[in-house]
Amino acid sequence: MELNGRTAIGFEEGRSSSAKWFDDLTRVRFAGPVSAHHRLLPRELSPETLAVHAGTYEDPVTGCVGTPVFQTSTFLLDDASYSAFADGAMRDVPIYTRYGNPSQWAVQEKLAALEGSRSAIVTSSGMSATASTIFALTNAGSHIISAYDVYGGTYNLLREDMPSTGREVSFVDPNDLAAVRAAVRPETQLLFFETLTNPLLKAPPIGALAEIAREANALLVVDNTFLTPVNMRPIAHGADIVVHSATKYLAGHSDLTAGAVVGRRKFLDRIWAQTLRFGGTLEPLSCFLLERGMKTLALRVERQNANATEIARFLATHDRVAAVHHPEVGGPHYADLARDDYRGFGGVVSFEVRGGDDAALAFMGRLKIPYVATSLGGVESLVSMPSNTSHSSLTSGQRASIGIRPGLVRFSVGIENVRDLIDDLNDALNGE
Amino acid sequence: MRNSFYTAGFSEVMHEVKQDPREASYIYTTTACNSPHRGLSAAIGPALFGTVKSVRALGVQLADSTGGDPDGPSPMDLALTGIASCGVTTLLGGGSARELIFDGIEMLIEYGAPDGEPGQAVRCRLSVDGVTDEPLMNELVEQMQTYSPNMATMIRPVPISFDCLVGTDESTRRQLTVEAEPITDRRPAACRVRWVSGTQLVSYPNGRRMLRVDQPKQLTGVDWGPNPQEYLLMGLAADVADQLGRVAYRLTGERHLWEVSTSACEDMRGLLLKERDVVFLQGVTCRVVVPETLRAETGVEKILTAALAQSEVRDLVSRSNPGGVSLVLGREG
Ligand SMILES: Cc1ncc(COP(=O)(O)O)c(C=O)c1O
Repeated sequence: MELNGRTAIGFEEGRSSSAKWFDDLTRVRFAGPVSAHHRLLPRELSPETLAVHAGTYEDPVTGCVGTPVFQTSTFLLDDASYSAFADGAMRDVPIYTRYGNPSQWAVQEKLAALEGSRSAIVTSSGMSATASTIFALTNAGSHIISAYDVYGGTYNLLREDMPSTGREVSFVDPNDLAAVRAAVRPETQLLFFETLTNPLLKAPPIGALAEIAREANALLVVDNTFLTPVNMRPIAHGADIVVHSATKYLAGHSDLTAGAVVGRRKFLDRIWAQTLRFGGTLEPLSCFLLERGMKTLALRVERQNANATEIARFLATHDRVAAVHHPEVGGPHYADLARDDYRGFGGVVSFEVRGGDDAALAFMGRLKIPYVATSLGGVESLVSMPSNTSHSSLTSGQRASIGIRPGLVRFSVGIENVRDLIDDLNDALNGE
Repeated sequence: MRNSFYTAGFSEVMHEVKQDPREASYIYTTTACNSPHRGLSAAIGPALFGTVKSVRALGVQLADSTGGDPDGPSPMDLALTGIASCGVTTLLGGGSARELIFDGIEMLIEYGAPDGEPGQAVRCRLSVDGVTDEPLMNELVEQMQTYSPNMATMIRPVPISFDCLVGTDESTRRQLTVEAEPITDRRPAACRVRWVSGTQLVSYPNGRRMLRVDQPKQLTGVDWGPNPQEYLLMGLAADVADQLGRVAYRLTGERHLWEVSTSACEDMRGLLLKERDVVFLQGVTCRVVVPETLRAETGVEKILTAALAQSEVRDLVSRSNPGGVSLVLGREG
């Protein structure tokens, strides 16, 4: 069987047997991997268009519209495969699905285009993306700075796995730039922050954090799960690497677990190698679901931005609500917020129900439309309480110190009709 | 991967360096400490590869010239390990680029060999197994001697800028000038440096504890040990610290804590793009922290001058040493 055009663009050009020194080597890989069959689009196109078209595998045999599901664990070996093994270029030839698969390349290219970058990998979960990124980009002996209120899974990784692998971590308030700067040491190698935090929706200044990272010769990695590239492209603000729990908005239907990392190939190739050693591959079928979900990303997120804003404004006027955390209703977190950097703030609204955790739990029980479930970013509204889920291992004192007060509810607003949601919230708040 | 060497990765570093000269500048820092209680040790500090930092917690406990830790390697062993491992890695990379497959590479590097040619400080014997094409190997060995940063540093006279300060008081910082005769009375040292896989090598200093060499993971290695440039700089720092402790004790009868740090830039345009003017280490600096406990009347100047003059690693780096490399093909012994 003759295999045509399946290797990554740039791979064939990089096969040279006449080199006499390093300067004769011709392999240059600053983008991809994508094959000639994957749809490459300029990053300047709008997110709506990129979300639909970027990366699609245009099958030369059937002409099908949309990427086929390349449901295979392995691929035929040929000269290109052997050459990839010899040079260490296995990311550029489909050899084995844990290393790479055209289904992965398609959705990776879509995400890289949306984030305005050159390369991406998809992984089996958001935590797989985060863990592989942190391990790949740091050495034993290094120092990491992150936020004390970073997503719980990330916090656990930093707190429980870094000491035994020789990395030290300082946890700071991501909005307190002086604290971030003061935490920098000569060994500081990586800063890890979220573009919008959970559950209090702090929006740290990414450009300023990038500046601190650059001055320290450290890398800035940001988790852009809560904003998505529709609302912010952190790389344009100076971040080096973006990670995602694609389980959330990117997939958008609460029906799969996936993660992603985006950035320059210089870093992505190392994160890819780490991911394949850890075994965090994304299955082809999940790639298909993720790619399909992402086609509507811009539409969904726009609706969620609008729904959440309207709900936040409604909640801010309700007398059974003690506080609302959302950039559109203001508050001390947002005094220095550079609003022009954001197209919106996504679908999450957090608020404190008067009467504490028991009252909040009862309120959630009275809701008719949203499901009471953890997670976020899907088409359906979900509601949960940090105190008995993500932050249940903290004492009430520890929770208070990071701003999680009794009665706090996190509402992940879906794409339903916002009037229906507000009526439901109103009834549940007013109910006994 | 051929020879477990990540040729594709090196190809990319080469193109990056070509496109952006800022990425070509690799900066290393090392420290050495000569403590009255804990003996002589050396460690690496954070390194910067263009715009990317690498931080590894790696160091080595050493034999000092007063007899502490006799099983430990000496400062000269570190320097020789740095030079030979750089040569071997360069040869391996150059050979891998030519698609050669090696079965084994080993370099015996000897300093002050009693049966050496008069005037020659270092000689190297390179054994290569698995490649039989002698003219090709001779060409590669020539490339190795020309483009290996540390071999070039040994072969060419490389300036070192010395300064000192007292404790942490920056206002006391001053330049030091070294006026020393070439060292002719050399204490012999030798290391056998063997390639293991990819960028990993081991060095066996004559009967002493072995040393592991590797590139950091940022440069296609796995952090298995300090890299060749770091070994050479640790050797310089440790030798100066060792001499300071020895000379100070001889002159004052007191033992003090001496800390020395070194840094240098490896300009990758030399190795990768064959720009000969920058192959050897650039901007080599060596800083001595004069112990606050050392009283001024004890002749600090005399200690510094004598210690620097007697440092054989300093002499090796700062003078021209056309180190002859002889080549043996096929498995030895
Ligand atoms: C901000 C953030 N990052 C990362 C993760 C982890 O993602 P996953 O559950 O897909 O592993 C989550 C999950 O809730 C998250 O909210």
